[in-house]
Amino acid sequence: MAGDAKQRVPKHIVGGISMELKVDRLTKQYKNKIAVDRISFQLEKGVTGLLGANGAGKTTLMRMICGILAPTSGDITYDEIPVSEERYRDILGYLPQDFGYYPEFSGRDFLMYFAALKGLSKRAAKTRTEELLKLVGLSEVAAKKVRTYSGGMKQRLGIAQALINRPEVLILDEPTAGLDPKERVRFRKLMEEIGKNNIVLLSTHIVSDIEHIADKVLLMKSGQVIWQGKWSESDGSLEDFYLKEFGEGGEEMTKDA
Amino acid sequence: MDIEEQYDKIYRFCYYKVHNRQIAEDLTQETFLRFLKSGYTEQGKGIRYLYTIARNLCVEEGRKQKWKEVPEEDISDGGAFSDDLIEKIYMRQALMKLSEKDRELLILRYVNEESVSAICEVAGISRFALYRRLKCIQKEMKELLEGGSSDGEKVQKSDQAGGR
Amino acid sequence: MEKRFKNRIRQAADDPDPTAKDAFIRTYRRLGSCREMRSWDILKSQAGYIRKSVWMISLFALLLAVVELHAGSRHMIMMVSAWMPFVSGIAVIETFRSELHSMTELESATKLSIRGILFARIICIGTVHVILILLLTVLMARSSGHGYWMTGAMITIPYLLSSVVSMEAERTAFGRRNVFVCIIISVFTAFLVIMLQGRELYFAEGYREIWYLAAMLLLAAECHEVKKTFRSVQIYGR
Repeated sequence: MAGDAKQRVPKHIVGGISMELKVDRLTKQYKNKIAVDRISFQLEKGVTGLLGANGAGKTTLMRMICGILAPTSGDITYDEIPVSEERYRDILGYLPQDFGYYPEFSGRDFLMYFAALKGLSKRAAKTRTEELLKLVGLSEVAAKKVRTYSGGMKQRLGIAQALINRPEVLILDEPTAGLDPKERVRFRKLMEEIGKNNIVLLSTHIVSDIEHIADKVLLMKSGQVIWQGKWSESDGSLEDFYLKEFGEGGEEMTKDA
Repeated sequence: MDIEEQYDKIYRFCYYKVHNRQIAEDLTQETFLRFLKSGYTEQGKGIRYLYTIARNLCVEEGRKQKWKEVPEEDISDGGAFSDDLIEKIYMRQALMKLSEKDRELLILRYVNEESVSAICEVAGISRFALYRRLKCIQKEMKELLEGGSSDGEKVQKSDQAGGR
Repeated sequence: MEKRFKNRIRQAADDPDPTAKDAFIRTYRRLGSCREMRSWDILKSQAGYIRKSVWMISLFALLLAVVELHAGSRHMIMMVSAWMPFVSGIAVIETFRSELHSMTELESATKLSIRGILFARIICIGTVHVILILLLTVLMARSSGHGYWMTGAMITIPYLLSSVVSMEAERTAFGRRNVFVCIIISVFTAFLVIMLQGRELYFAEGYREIWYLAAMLLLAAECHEVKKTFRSVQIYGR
């Protein structure tokens, strides 16, 4: 019976869009160093983990994918839309590695503010804000000032902010930073859920964050993608591979985990 | 009319008519698709039209289901019985004891918090009749919830026994 | 009915599946009613996020003029002119607020984008300030004894001067870290105004053209600075 009901909504309407993020020979060069060196890859629906040591160029790459940093050369398009367009920003969710807030903001104000910037009407923003506060477990403290939040709470607020406009492309830079183990588990579940219908790209230097939820892995080292593909249990431990590839740098990274 | 704001309202409206999450969800989406097709864009009154579409779809659904007993969903979710869940079952039972019409008015007024004039239009009754009805419903709910506590406990026990 | 009770009924229904809801709402938007951002709504919502101090300081300028006018003070025009650098200084800080509180990156990735936000802020504050300057001019021209044009120039010049210098300063690495450089610039400009106090000769008929020219030049510089500020945030990143 549930099957009957399901058929009523034409599926071709719901899932008809191809959803493909294309990065083509992307380069970012600063005065004396190349941060991102001719990277090409494609992302489809699912969770992609971007692994690499600090300074490997992950943040630079992510900023360019969000259309807020101009590449030196190369293209990034989503379903043929260049990332510099408003249409793309409309379906984008981004959590930077580090972000601030206006000192007078409460958690709720913070989300309402970004809802307005993302084009939600005031009433829609209210509904969506409450829904997200519940999702990330901040409903109880929504009226408190953001500056009283713990690191984990602030990070959860940042994640909620990225989800306001129900993004098709979700870019998260070190999203698990500051989360405690319990929050991490919740976060992983949420990403798995969102990844079913959307493109999720998350960077981390902690292998266990993505080991079980990533449909695809990109390994980045000094501005280049040195390995990409699906990682399955049969390939062995991602962590071992990671250590082998990164040598001493890798060891340093797993210490954090 | 913003879908972000109305989705849950229409969903709840349908849910309390069909008592099944999956069906309610499908009917909600169908409602919005039909609304879109109708090209009805007049500001402010969109929500009334949405309710009308949703109600018609629910009635249609009810006719289809006439022969089958609508299965109550398995709410136990395999998890432990929390206080929340007991509260949920308890509340649902009370709501089920109201008449279909009264339940609709209750949801529209107190859960979705629609304006009186909108409800009158959707339900097709006068302002006066609505006020009178709402007063009765409030009283009835109060009685159901206060008087039916032993009832609620029974449900909880039998469900638990069934689950094991 | 009490709120708690309403919530109990609301929670009695199972929540809809979030993933399905997500997908459907997006599809729905795509199919039709796509969310257009209307400029008026953007301005309205952004105006609400501008700090109260920006409005208070403008209001104070007006109050100052009214009180001095009532008292028939000789220093009226000087007092108001000396206050104007603060009006613009605070406004410049407001436009650089995203950077000050590390919000730039988050704001850039929204539909409106950092440029849109800055544009809205400048339009809101700019409109209020133009009205303020016009009001002040009309209020004080009669009793200042300088006529409309000269009175206007006398309050506009310190306003523009501190605004232009502040914007230039804010774009340097030092200014970005120490946003309150704007206040120092305002204090300095106010000091200049006070220095000119009592030297009526400088404002005499023969010298007026020089003041008008200065005002025009500063206005051009202001436009240039605003444009530069826009360009600096167009694409984030160094």
